[in-house]
Amino acid sequence: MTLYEGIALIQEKQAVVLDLGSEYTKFGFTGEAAPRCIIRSEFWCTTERKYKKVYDYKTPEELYDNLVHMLHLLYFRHVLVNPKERKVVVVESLFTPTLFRETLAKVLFTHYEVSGVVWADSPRLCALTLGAPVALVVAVGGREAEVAAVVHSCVVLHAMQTQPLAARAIHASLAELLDEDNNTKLNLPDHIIEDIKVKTCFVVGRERAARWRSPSWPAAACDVAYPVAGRSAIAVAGRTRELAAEVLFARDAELASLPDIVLQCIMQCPIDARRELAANILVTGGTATLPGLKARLAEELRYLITQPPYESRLHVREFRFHRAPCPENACAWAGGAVCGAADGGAARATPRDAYARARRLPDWVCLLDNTPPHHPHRDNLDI
Amino acid sequence: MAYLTQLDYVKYICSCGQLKPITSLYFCRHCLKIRCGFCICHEVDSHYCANCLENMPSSEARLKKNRCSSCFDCPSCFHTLSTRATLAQPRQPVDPAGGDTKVENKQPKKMYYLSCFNCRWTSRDVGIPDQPVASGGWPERANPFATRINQLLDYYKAIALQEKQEKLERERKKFSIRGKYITLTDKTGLTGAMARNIAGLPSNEAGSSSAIANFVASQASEEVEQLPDDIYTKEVNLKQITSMPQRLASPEWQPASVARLHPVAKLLSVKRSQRCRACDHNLTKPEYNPGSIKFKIELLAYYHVPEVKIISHEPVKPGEKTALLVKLTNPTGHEMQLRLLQPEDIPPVEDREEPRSIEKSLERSLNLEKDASACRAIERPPSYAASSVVATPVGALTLAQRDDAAEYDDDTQHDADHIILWRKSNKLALRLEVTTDASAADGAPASTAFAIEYSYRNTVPPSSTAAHHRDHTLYTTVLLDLGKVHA
Amino acid sequence: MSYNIKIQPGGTVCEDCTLEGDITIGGGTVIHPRVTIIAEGGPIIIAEYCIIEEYSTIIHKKSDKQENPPKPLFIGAHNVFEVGCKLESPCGHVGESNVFECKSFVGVDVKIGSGCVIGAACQLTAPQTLVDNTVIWGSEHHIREALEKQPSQLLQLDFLSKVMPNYHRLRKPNVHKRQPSRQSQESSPKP
Repeated sequence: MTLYEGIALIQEKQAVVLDLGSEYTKFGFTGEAAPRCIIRSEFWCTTERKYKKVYDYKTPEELYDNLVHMLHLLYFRHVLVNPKERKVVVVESLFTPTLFRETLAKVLFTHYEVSGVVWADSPRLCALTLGAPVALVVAVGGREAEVAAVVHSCVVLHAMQTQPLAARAIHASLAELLDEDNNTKLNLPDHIIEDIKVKTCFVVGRERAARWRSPSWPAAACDVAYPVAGRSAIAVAGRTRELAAEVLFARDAELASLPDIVLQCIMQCPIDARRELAANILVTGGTATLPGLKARLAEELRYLITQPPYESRLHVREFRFHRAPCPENACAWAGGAVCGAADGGAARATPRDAYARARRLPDWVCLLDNTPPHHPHRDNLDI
Repeated sequence: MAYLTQLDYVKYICSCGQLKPITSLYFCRHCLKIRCGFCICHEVDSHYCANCLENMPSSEARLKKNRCSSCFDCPSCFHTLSTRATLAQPRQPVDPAGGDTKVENKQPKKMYYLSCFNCRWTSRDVGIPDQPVASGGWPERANPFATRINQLLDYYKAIALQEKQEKLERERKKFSIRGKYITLTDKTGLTGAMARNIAGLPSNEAGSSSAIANFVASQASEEVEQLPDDIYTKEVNLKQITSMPQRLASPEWQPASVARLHPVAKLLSVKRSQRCRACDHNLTKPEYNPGSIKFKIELLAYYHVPEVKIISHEPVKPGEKTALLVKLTNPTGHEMQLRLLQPEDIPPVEDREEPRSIEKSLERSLNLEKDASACRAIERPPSYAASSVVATPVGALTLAQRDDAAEYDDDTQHDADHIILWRKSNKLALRLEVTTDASAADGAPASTAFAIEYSYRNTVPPSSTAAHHRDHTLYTTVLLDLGKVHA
Repeated sequence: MSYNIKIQPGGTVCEDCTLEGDITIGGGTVIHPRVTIIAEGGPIIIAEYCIIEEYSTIIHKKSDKQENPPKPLFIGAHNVFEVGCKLESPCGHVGESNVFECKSFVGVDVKIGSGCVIGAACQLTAPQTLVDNTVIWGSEHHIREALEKQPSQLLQLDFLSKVMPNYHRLRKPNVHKRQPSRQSQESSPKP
């Protein structure tokens, strides 16, 4: 009976949830447990005659066109509903560029004439899938790793951390290692690199990684010959398989590795929330499915907390991890689906007429939105 | 075929500023404007399965999550699976006593399994038992997370309900305090809910709070998934691990092992109808039957706008004049007067909105459904760079109406004109001269643009209110791709 | 080049095909017209119940490091060579129940096990070994492992060996084996 489940016969049209990731787009209906489709964020561009990524844009017009085409693909090829007069829950990162948000709003409201848009940030949505009041959301996605603390459904904005430590970084490092293994410049297309990563790579433990850095290397995992059309198989050495994702954990003076930014985020949070945050970590994002990544992160966190600069400044010793009730890559989406269904999307949506009047979106970085009501500057703002 | 396989050498400028070949343009008979896929409104008309061509009402499609109930896609290569029949000998019940086995059940039975003709995947590969019926009956899998998500949904719905009720309560309280008249509860100074609150009793919305009370938040654990112990020693069998597309084909399960791939119910397709944003009239409307490729309404530019084709042209050289032969076709059933212009000579469209009274425009701005500003936001100035200029002939040209019978007579009329090369029923070949800018770089794309002024007879039955014009003079701009500049 | 073509009883070999060199064709095998089989580097042995369709080419290539006497190219039973496929092999061994789909190409230094499928238009040029039950398909050469061998085409073989003689001139089986009575039955093509 799975086909029939989760259909709420509500008068209002079921809203859709859109999570436009830099690599993969998740799209589906609110109130359902899984997105209807997870597809690459790209579309067939008829003028350029190639697949074009949504995030490849130089001008606002180009971005507008990209979004129009992508949403057309999603609405009419995958989810098969009329976009008109239907609400949308947009799952967005808090670091989404303003241009992107504004253009997406323009596309949704003017081009597709949706009736309302709920702008929901992914950390809070991820925390929503847990039901826990306090959560530290570590999202390792396509382009960036983002760490955000959600305390009683508020994101601690000043503590948010982000670093370009995600799938792209792993792909770049893997491509380099593969070139070494094969003694040539391979110039493999992205999807093959990704496939090699998915099928062969994993994240080794802390100790083993340290041994790889020392002169005496451990016995590597088995080598793999990855067959490719039209050429001889690509050698994927065991060392490559083990070290491809090491870039996420590489520490330097700037303390910008993945475990470091997690600890820094906790450190910048209010002192009474730190212990709770460390005990409620949720690792999400597609890259989190890499075997061993969570284990390594836990190991690193437990080790680094005993090291300077954290040991004197951060008095948490216990790290606990949540498991989201959905696949890692669709966690924020699932939060959006729950959120959109729970309040009917009505209360928190920006309706179309409001957008038509103001032509702008509330944004947490904008002074128009984040100046406190009694602030002396508020009178000078045009609100 | 040329339209499908070749590059678009001739592009028209849509009213929204997009450059498109004539085959992907529409013509709104009510606005008398060219429209394209970018500036019109697409609507889902009907759902059908592209494999079995079965129609599905949209309510049923929604129930079945837009999946066909009888067709499946291969989880390995996404090709459509076909059902294959085998004759299965019913298994002999092994009787250790060697006594009487059932003899009457010995006829071979027809059993069905799914098989992919592309990658030879079969439903047997993943241990799905063969089915006794040809269609349907395939085991369905439940989403492992569905129950938890439903719990979350109930929980948050209850919270939302509570929030709403509290808000209502507050508002009522506010109202009752501000109210002029002293109500019965105000005399006592207590509302029922407040009394309950003070007494520490649970509020009377027991239904919603039970969902909240019974909800268990996710429990964090010290343990995280560790790497399997044998990962350093185990040989990797690439064929046993699924690729990303295979995983994402079923977002609910995302199997990592090939052994867990299950047939994917085929996604339905939709027929779309298209609507002009400005006037809300349909531009295309397909027939309901999925097998039919005909349209009930089909306002394509190809049937209304004079078509320009390049016959041939000399290589474009900077600072020189080049001959260009184009063919013009009148697709309409009426005689057409044509004039070629420079694109900048098109008279600006007089804005018919202007003379309206303020009340009218206010009404329009309030009525967002018909807000023209929305469709104007989509419009943008066309961006093209024409390296060459066409010398446009001064006189008007006349193009006869389309006549299907004229296909059969073959006498091409050679007009004694230095511009018109030949004329044949509704077609006309023109010899034009193109002047290229002297500064054009070698190898740069060469293109030229010209505008066509054409007469158009509107065949829409006149509506009672508006004054109806039958004959119109319309303009369109055409962009020709002339290859590359040869220095 | 010596022309030494042995067709075992039960083999259906059309006359309109190019057979060069030392070739042995097993009983029950059907070779369609316009097939090219060239054994320039050494003998080719095709086992029983193979189907070799139109325009397929099987070449036993000459190579420099060839042993003397040259090793034969042995093609196992129940292989299907679909229209226009090409198999080049200097010293190959092709297992049983493989399918070479239309326009596929298998170059030198490819060892093929049993139950493999080379998908339509797949070009295997790099040296490699296909283990049993490998299926290759698509322009990207996706690979998967089938659970079981490809089913044999016995019905099709049966049909072909009945129909072929009605429309094509056939080469007569020229090797007489143990059962002369059966052979005499089958070797007389119907006019």
